[in-house]
Amino acid sequence: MKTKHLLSIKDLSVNEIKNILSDANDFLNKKSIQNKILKKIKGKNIINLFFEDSTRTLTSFELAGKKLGASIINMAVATSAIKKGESLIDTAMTLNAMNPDILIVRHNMSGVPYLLSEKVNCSVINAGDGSNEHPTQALLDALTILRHKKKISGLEVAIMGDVLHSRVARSNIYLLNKLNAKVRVICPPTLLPAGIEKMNVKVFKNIREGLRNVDIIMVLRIQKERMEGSFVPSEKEFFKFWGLDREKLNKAKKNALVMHPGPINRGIEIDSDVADDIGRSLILEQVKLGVAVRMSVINKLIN
Amino acid sequence: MTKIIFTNAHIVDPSQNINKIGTVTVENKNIIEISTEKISFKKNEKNKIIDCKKLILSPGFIDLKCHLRVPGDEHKENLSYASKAAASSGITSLICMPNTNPIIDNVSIVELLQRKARKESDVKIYSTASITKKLQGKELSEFGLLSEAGALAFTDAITSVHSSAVMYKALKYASAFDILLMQHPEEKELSDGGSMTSGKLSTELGIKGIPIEAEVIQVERDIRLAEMTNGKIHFLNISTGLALEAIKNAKKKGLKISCSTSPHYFSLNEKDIKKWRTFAKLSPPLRDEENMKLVKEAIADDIISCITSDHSPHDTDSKRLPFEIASAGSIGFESLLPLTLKIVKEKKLGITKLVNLLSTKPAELLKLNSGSLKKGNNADIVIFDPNKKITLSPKNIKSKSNNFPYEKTKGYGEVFLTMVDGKIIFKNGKLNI
Repeated sequence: MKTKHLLSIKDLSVNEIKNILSDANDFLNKKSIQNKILKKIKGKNIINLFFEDSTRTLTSFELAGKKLGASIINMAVATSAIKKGESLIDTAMTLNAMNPDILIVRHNMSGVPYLLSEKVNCSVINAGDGSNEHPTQALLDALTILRHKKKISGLEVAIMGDVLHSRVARSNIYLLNKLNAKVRVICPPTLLPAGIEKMNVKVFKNIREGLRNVDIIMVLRIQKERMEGSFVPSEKEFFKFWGLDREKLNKAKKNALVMHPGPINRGIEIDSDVADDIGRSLILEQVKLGVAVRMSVINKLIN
Repeated sequence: MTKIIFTNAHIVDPSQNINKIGTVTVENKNIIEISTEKISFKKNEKNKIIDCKKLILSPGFIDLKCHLRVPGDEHKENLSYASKAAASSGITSLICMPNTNPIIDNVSIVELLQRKARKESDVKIYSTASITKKLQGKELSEFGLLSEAGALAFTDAITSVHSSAVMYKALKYASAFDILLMQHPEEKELSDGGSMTSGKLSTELGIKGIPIEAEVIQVERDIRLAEMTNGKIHFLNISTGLALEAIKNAKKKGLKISCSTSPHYFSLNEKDIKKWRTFAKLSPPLRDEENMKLVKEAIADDIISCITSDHSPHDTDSKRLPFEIASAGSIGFESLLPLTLKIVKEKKLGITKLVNLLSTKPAELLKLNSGSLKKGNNADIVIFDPNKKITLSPKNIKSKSNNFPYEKTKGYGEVFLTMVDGKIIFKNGKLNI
């Protein structure tokens, strides 16, 4: 890879994306390649620096690092101490002094991995920052689509739910556009980010119109406090008008597939009936491929 | 007593309609003679003659809005640093904001600031006081007592008075003392939690946006209140075409409305934020290129009558943070003349316009007798070379902090000499302190 860090999908070329995805695919299919890489990575140090609670992304990176033979440490950062960000740079500088090879950073504020990347010597992977980006999620989503649809170019992809606060949505919009998919977003007007129509996406306020003729549906997680009158009047109302259930899913193509970055709110953004339909839902597959994609990213940055 | 005689100066003083080569004589604290005729004077030991060939001599600049961080935040700025930075930038009077710690909302803090200024500063420092006690937007400060003590104007600094009822009473009550209220117009709830202008860029950076309408909503409400009360309001840091349109209409109606902006809003735009660059985090936030253009036009059209430095120093720890929690503001003294002169040249507005924006108009607004070279006035003078090209850079900052968003920005104007009350405090790159 040209860049030392993985901070944003915007920094990746189409070829780099394809390479990451194809390596991840190899990790899944061929064990021999995995063994070759193991030797190079053995003894490398990775630190998971998570300033925000996470179970699946943290575990996924940890597992990816361990599978590659790196030693990986999880830094539990007390949320209270960093609330005002006081010790942010100091924490990173302290870790930097221990000479890690990769720092994997998650933070609830946009731009933090970039800020840290300017201060440390090692590579930085953005594991999700504020409402900005979550690049490895978009990469694993792309791999999931590729393995099921054999292509991404030309597919109609709908991203629905809380687009305003979603870093997953932003990373996916950038990546899907780079790979020539046709992207649309479906959400209540209060959760639509300003200027998004200039980011090469179509905007729908009505879910039934928005799902028409769609190949892939990416459902986003919505946080409960945003449905108590601040953005949407109630959970009940959100589910009725913007939640994905069987009836709305039927508006999409017959073989349309459903994705979700997790953890899912059943009965709010997605109905259990759809989430658990193994013929349509790729939710658990996404988790599985996440490990492979993160192995591929770690491997590329270390080499 | 020694006289200081400035000869061959291009004198620009809009208050007397002077824009001509001439001589200015200063004795003691005051201007004792100003002449555009050829005059003869005796070269003797008592007279100090300063040749000002190819230089402009005008009343010293009066900065209507700056943050000096005193009392309470002396790690960001203090009066001595601020005075040096102002003196070398041709600014002879500073009007500082009340959002200090403690807040300037009582007579003792106004007096404290005056005492400290006498000791630590060579430029004149005037304080404003808050419109509401503790800047809480609820109870009025003691307008009468504070203005008697020397508070020049009243403002809640970088917050607007949110309650219409409180602002209504403030405007009514202020009229008893003929006091000027200054408002930072940003509707509090629409802008709450936001740290850049909302739009494609804020969405791309994942930063909560502030709609540009937050400014005009506040401006329109205040204009309505000014009309109801026959009150006087000055809007600070105007940055959008929408607000300028509303102000233009209010002025046409004959209301006592005026406004200013700072060079940031016609020299920078939201693209300068790049990747969460906190030095470009300002309040109000930087706008798009279209609004930047409209601000320039409003300066040319006399809708904006003054340019302030909006000097807002911050220490490294307040800026080296994630964008959304970093402090807003930029250093401003060093960029005031160069960037204002740049737009005056770009728009071909003439040098009188520059002096109006930086000195004459702010003086009129605050009823200061500086801002004019009339015989008998205090000798607050700046002499500068308007054609000298300069490059703005954080390296040349004299302030205590260095949060300066300009790195290789070009501007015009090099200050040759600054004089306050007849005393030369800066000359040829050197501070006489």
